[in-house]
Amino acid sequence: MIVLALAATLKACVPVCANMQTRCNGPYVELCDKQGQWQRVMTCDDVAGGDEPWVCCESQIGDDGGAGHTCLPESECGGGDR
Amino acid sequence: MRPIDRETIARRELIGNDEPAAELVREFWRQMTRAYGTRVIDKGSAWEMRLVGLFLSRIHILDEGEFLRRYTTTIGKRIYTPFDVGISHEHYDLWGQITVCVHEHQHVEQLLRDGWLKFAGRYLVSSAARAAYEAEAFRSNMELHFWRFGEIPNLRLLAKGLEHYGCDQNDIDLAERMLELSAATVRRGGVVNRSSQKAISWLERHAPELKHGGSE
Repeated sequence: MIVLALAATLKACVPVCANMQTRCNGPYVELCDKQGQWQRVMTCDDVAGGDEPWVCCESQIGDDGGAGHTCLPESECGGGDR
Repeated sequence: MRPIDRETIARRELIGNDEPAAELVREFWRQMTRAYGTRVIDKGSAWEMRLVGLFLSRIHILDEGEFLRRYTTTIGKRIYTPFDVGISHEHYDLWGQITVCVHEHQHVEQLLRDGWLKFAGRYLVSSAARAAYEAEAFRSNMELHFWRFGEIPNLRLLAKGLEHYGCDQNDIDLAERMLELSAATVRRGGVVNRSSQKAISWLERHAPELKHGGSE
């Protein structure tokens, strides 16, 4: 049990992503922190507003925010990276 | 959280400065505290807040007086305010009191979602996690601001407030990026935070004139 706990702790310390990278993880939008760990930004299933379901996909973020993953109405996610 | 900043106030004055009525603000707080089972406590007279202020002052994070006068703090389901709800305060106008109510209740949502141990542990130990929790709560400010003024507030300025939370530049950048990603959803009419969903649903029914374009 202790070995398993240690392994889990060590695993959590190993960087798994690059700082500021974004991704969709199912309905979750995630952003990579400075330790190389994924931080949850939001859950698209929880978003309220509009008539369509909200899904995670890649999009242009704002005017000068570059590309990134976010929650969008399903019809706006065509062809995007889910 | 920190009160509204001057740039935001100046921007609001360009758009319209109709303040919500004092009784509306009191009723809003009443329904939010009822919905979450929270309690509002006068920060200045709470001995536990004086202790926290003293501690923050000793570790050179924040001056004790500043902490007591300017910041609203939530611990568990107790919300310590430096203002009397419904009475305009030098750091919290009446709309500011509505947004801070929603911000603090998003922290209660985090506590309910993650549990005491995970929430308090991560918030206190990891500055990156603290930045992420605060960015989520700042999203409530952004969502309320968008509902009222029809625009996204200055996200860099919002995230910069984390300087006073023991966060470094990396954490602040992370918070700003989280807000940018969320803003793309908010601009399309999405409301992410549950505390904002509750608040906006109530405001739509009781104060539709406050919504941008609501009185046109």
